[in-house]
Amino acid sequence: MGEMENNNRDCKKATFLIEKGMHAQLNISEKINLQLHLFSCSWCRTYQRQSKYIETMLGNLFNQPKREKLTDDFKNDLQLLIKEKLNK
Amino acid sequence: MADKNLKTDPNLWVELYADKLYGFVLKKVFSEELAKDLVQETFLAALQGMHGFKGESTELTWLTAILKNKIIDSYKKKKLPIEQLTDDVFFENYGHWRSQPLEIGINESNYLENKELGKVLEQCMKKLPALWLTVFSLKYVDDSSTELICSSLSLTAANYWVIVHRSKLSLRACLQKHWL
Repeated sequence: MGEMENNNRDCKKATFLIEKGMHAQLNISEKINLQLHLFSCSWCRTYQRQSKYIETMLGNLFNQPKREKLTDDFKNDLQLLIKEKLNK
Repeated sequence: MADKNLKTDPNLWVELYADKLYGFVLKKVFSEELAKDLVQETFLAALQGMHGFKGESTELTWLTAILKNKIIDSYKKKKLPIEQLTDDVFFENYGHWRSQPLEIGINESNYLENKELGKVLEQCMKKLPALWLTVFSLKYVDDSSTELICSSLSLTAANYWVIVHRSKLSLRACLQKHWL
């Protein structure tokens, strides 16, 4: 099996490059290999589309405001602790 | 007020900033207990460093910066194990998919439905190995750079990308299983 053919069938490598490419610059040969693979592999095209969407959702998940508040007890203790340290 | 040169009043911190800092840290660490500890540690560190606060940024910005360092410290302290990355549930030899990635019912125009999907994703996140979850958390704590994440967790860059890849494959598979 030729190297290129082998490469073209490697979905593990392709999905790896999809992920890396979302956060870092791929080099030229990585880019070409990925494009060649995607051209002939609909499974990985599906993966790529979904992965981009998951990426967006992850951003939202980590950055959505959390409304949970601290309990008054915890805050009172914290206030006392600060007062104590200040008076030392 | 004891010290006129101070640009900040620690007696007001809890009232003004505790909930804000708690909300900030909670979305990074996914654990209420740890989040509380980190808020407390932040105030204690701020007390020690308050004479260095020049009022060049807001108090909240200053406290948040301390908190971010505390978050990273907490990851370092955990000494997370590097999970086995060798066995492969997603691909066969030669890198073929073991099973076809199916369409997931993502409706890009329906916001409410996607909110539900977001909840499923959050559950899926919590199933990831601790180290992987930590990598993701750091990635989204103000977009920490790859270099910073690797040095914080003592990871090689190669391991980092493998973890990102595996995490994403796991999340996708988990969504397919629970949302399809």
